[in-house]
Amino acid sequence: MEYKNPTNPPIAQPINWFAFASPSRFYQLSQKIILLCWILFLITATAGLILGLLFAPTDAVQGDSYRIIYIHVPAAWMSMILYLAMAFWASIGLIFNARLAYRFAISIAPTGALMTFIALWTGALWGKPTWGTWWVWDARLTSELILLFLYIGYLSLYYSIHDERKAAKASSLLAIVGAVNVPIIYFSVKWWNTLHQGATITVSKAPSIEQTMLIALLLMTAAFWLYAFAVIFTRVNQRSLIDESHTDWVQQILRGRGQA
Amino acid sequence: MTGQLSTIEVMQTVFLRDLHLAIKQKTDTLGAVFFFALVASLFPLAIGSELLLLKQIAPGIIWVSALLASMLSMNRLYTNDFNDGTLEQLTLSACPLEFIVLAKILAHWTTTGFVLLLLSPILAIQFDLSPLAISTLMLTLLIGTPVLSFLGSIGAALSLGLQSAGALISLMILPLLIPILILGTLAVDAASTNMPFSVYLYLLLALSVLASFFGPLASAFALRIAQE
Amino acid sequence: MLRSHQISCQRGKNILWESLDLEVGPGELLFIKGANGQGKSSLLRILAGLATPNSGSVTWDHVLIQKITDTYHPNLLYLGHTIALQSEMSAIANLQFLLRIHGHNIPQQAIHNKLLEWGLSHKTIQLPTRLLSQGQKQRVALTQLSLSQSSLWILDEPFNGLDQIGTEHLYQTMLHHLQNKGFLILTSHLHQNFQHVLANDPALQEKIITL
Repeated sequence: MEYKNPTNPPIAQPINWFAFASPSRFYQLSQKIILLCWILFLITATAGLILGLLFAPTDAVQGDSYRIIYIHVPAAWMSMILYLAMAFWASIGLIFNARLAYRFAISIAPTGALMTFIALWTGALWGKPTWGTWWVWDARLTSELILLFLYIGYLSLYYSIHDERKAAKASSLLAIVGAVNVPIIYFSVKWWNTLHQGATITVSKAPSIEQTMLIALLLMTAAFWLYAFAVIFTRVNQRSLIDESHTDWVQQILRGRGQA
Repeated sequence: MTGQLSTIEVMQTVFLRDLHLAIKQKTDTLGAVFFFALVASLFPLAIGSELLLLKQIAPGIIWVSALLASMLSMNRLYTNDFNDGTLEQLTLSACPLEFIVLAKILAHWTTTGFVLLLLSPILAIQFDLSPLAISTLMLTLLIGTPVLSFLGSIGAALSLGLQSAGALISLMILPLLIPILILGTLAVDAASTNMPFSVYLYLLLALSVLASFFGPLASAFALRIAQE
Repeated sequence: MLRSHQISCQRGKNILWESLDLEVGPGELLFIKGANGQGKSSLLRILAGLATPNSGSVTWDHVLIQKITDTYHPNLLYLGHTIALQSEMSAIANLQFLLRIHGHNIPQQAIHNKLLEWGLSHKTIQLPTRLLSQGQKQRVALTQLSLSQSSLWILDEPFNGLDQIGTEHLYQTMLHHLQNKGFLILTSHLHQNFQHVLANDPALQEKIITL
């Protein structure tokens, strides 16, 4: 006997409250936002660099070499914030099984890793003229290094798994496990540092902040944020186009671009 | 005809089977232990035989060697079961997967971490550590090596069935083990210089308890993802 | 009563099947047919709860199976494509393990007797299973059916490697199960239908789904 559909109604799916939970809607909404982010990025970055490099006063102790903090500090902040954001979207993805949330998490990772990399390099560039060595094992720099390894671990796992959904879920779990461990790692590294070295001044200690310096720093931080938004949103949309290339809305967009 | 088994009895069955198989497949099990001894011996060869220097860095060497040996052995935790279909049956067991995972991890630790712990005093003597330092080292390994197994299990579950699982597990999990490494070595250093060290042990214990709870939970979650 | 509600299965970018509603209850045999690669095994895994569907849900007595694993799992016996036997352990040790993790405490003698009933010799069941032939391994795995208390059986290609006698024994085991208010879901590339198994018993019903 061939099987017939039962008359029982299906179980209702949980409702997605997030307006942009649909990749196609997000694509439409974000186009203008991305453009705005790039424009504002150029403005704030230019203003911040001019202020920081040309107008802020020279430091009494460190001379002009301290100016690297206008890149180092925002990069370090972003590297940490982006990791938390990544873990946040990973959690949303796992709880609500939302593709877009997963896409956000994996799109944040490369930018977060880049920020960490920049923070480490600029940290080294700062250290050389100031303390004579390219690297010191202080708490902040060591934590940044470990954070880089956490990003690399996440990316390695994601790209090792062939099935996209499985890769997203597995790496999301890793991101959350990492995020939970970050405070534990940070405090143990801090402890390790104070007990092994007597050094009271670290590479990452900024000179006393003066008005112009502060404004420049805030501008650069804003610039890094805007850059991150622009790049991450673009990446999310690229992934949407690739992963959902078989759907109507993507076909429409590609036709519009003359690429279908 | 049949009786029903409790959760503990099922866990016992899993624990004993894993133990039995680990003892049978000696190469896998002993491999990690020999690796531990080998890596620890590489350092004097690389750095020089000056005992004063080696004594200072011995806790670090032994702990790092334990970390690497543990990570190396994690791959076999789920791979064999995954390949022969047993993992599916374990996932569908009447006993929650989290408890089964706990039993497997404990069996794994018994044949890895625990054996490393037993071997450690021999290595410690090679580095001329004092009796107090050696006993502190063993205590830190006793409390700390289960964490290696609990967190390593998450790595093993996440990388189930993947080509380069061994390297991937180390890459993912070693950063997370840094606090254990730091606390373990700080404790032994403090003991060596006659400073108070119990605070490090308490912290290690706290982390161990946390890991024993979250490790199986996350591992079971990861195993379900891996079997989709 | 097991039900699926609008479930779909995706492999990579391809949607294998979608909007699948099905229902199996006591005394019913659900036969999943389809060519290779159509997702029959995936369907069985989704129904067993090992995989999650791309969309839709599976319920047991009107509750999502993910929420009631403590009641669903004891009622389910799943025999997948890979025969879950550890190669170094003997048949009898393997079965004892599998039955125990499903919560059954069955005496060794009973397992021994059932293995003999399924056509395995006394000597064979003591050997490490890596020395057994494919057909022998299949019989060992199928012996679980005779010892299980579960009401729902999900079997992926259970007839693989069986000879005439083995096949006949499996038919009998299936019939017995259905007559005892059990139900089962299976795939097989060798059969057209299982009407002959149901032995014209009006209480039993066969349902067929072709993917």
